[in-house]
Amino acid sequence: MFLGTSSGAGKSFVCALACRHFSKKGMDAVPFKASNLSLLSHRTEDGGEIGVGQALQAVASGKKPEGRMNPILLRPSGKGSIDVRVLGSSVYRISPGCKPGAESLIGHALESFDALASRHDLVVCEGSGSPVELNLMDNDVANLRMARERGIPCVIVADIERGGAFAAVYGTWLLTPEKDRGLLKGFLINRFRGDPSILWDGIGKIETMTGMECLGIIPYVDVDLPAEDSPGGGGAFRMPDSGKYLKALDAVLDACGDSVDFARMEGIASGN
Amino acid sequence: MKTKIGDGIGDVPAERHGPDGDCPYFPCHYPGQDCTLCYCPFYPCRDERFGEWIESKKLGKAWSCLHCVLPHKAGAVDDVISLRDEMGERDLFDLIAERHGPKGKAVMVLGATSDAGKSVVCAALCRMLSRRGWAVIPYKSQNMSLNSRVLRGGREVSMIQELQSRAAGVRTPPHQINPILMKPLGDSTSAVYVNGEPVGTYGVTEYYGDFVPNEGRAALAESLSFLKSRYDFIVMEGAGSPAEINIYDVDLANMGAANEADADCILVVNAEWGGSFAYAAGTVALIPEKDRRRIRGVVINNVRGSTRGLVEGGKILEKITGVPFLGAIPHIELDLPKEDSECFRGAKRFGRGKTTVAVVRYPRISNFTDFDPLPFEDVTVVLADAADEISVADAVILPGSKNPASDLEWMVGRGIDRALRGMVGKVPILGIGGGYAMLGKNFGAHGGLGIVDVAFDTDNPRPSAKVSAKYGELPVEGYSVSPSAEPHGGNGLFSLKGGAWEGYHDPDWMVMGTEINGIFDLPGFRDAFLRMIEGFDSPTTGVNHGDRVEASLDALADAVEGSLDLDILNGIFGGSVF
Repeated sequence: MFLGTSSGAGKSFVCALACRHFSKKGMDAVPFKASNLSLLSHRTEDGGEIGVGQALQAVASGKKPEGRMNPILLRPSGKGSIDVRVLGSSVYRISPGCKPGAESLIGHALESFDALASRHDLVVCEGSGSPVELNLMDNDVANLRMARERGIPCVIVADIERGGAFAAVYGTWLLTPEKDRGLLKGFLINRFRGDPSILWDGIGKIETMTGMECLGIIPYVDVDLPAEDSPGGGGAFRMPDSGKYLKALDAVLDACGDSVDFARMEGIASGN
Repeated sequence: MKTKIGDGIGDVPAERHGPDGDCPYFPCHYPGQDCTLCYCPFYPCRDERFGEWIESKKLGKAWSCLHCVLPHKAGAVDDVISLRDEMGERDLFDLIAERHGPKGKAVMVLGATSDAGKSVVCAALCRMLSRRGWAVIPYKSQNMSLNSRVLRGGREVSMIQELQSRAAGVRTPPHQINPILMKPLGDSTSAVYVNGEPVGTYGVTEYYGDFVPNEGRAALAESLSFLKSRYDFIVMEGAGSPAEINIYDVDLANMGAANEADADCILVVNAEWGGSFAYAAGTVALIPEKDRRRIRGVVINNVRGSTRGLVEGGKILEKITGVPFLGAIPHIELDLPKEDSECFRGAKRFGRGKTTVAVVRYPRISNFTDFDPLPFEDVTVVLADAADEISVADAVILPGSKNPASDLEWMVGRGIDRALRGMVGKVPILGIGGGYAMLGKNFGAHGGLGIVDVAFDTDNPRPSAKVSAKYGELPVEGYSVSPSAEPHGGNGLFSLKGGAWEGYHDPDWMVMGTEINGIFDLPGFRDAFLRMIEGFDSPTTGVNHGDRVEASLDALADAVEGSLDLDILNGIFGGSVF
């Protein structure tokens, strides 16, 4: 599972890269995100309604998008209330100021995850926002709760563009409850510009302090990728031309070269 | 008025009468100042903690106490009035200096990331302190920015510290507010300014290897000691994150400066992207223990919607890190100049007016805060980087540039030069600073656009300066950065004191150029420029943009003051300050 140090850290993009990499290797990989808070969604042929990130990741993994890839959609429905949709159907509405109850949602998430895990080699999971929002953690299904329930190994993704990436990785590890820290296996630095050798000293310190491994530095690549969030608008999402999209992902994979250790990622996924 | 030391204290009013809002020079130092002693009764005190000897053109060697505020403190005025007959001038001066001398307390605002909101929090603290009567000054040791301001004496500092000085009520800030200014030139090199004057171009390796340990550290120490000896509070701003552990020991801008100033620190985190608690906890934890004790408060900034949840989380964070949680500041819309990163990541259209003014957004654009006043009129400012965006505009501005040669090439590569030539005579075209040089006839590999008949000697620029000029009879206030235009036979755009012309104006072809920045701040030229646009018939605001900035600074200070725990803040500032 890829966890972000913030929104926009590049979780869903990294998931898409992983889906693309593993499917090119001939592996049967599928994307998964327990729940998604968004106005924008993609209708799947099986009647589901999934986040744009998962629809794109499905393309990256060479799969048809399906509802189980993102079973729970939390859709803001105006004036602070939220419409909870499971596999494409509205289940209930949360009133303004209330939080979606974890217990009522986790069952749906696990059911879909188990179905995918039983049919595929690798489930590439995406977390949601930061996993350590101290005021929200108790009700958060999509991150550590999901990982804990199924023993999913996690990799933290940090965006270095705004700076503070080391603090973000270390802080995310530090605020993760001790009982869950064993799930945190590695971290990735995303959107780096410049000579990566200047980071090694800092990376080494974080590895020593946390016991996590650095799985790579993803360079900033100026490719045209579809926007996955729509803070303002909403409604249906139009899928991009899949050939173009895959080409963009391949360009980033090429740029990553040896700087991202997908082999180690695979090892972590299989429990090694 | 007494003329030499030893004359005794001159006429001092019988009682203190507070600030003099009717004085045309008010506030000459800061808004909370007391004006009873309009002139210092101890002048010239010759005490180098408070002033310095300067060479003056008019007076020869003179004692300058431009940045001393001692005689404007209410308590000092009271003591002068009540004790003037009881002790000699020197003894009284020593007593006043002892009791009311600058506190010299430094507090530093750190950010967990770039864009955390450090600079607005600094501005808010400056205003909160100055309106309580404290003598406060902002500071940033090293600022990398494309927006600068020219101070009195021609020294250049970062735009944002000049703005914070306004928040502190200091109209003529000392250049020490920003001892190191770096203007990125591209390719990892920067033009470096020390104490407001250019010292050369540095790459990353030479900067950190040669400059920082030598001139850099010296500039930092001198500027801080100057400010600490004159002001009660120095509100310092960090740069980026202080927890970049790979460069921690060479980082002058964060804990390096905090240690030099013996500053207590406040950490600001932007809530916008989430993960605020992780960023805060990680930043505190990664700062080495010897420096960590300086971090005395955490602020979560830019919260959209209710701040309740983040305050709950902040209290938990306080227990985990041991650093007090100061509060959560809501998202506020402000009419304040934006820093580089905000401008570049933000919108490309500003305002919703019916007239479109295209500002050519070259890669090395600089001083783009010049255009802040335009969106308040019936104007949409478009930061345009394509020829087709420019050719549909109602007016075009070529802004300043840090690298006019490469930016000109960039325009040629995009066909923007052809688009501009096709627009000459149809819409107003204005070049400012580097943009004016590009419009000229001899610039760069392409020889300039040749749209204005002016030559530039950019290798031998004149010094930067503050400028007061007139457009016709209308006042224009601004500043020019390294001007290099040579005399030309055409019309000027502005008239300078003494009758000289500045810039270029061809009214028939509606082509203009100037080396003055800030020309849209006052309504005179701003309105005249808009009226040149065919069909522009909207009413204009007539507002001095500086007044909007003032109002925004007050609103900002109110919002921040309402969000933070003032007891904890008092602890950080060392007493009952707020």
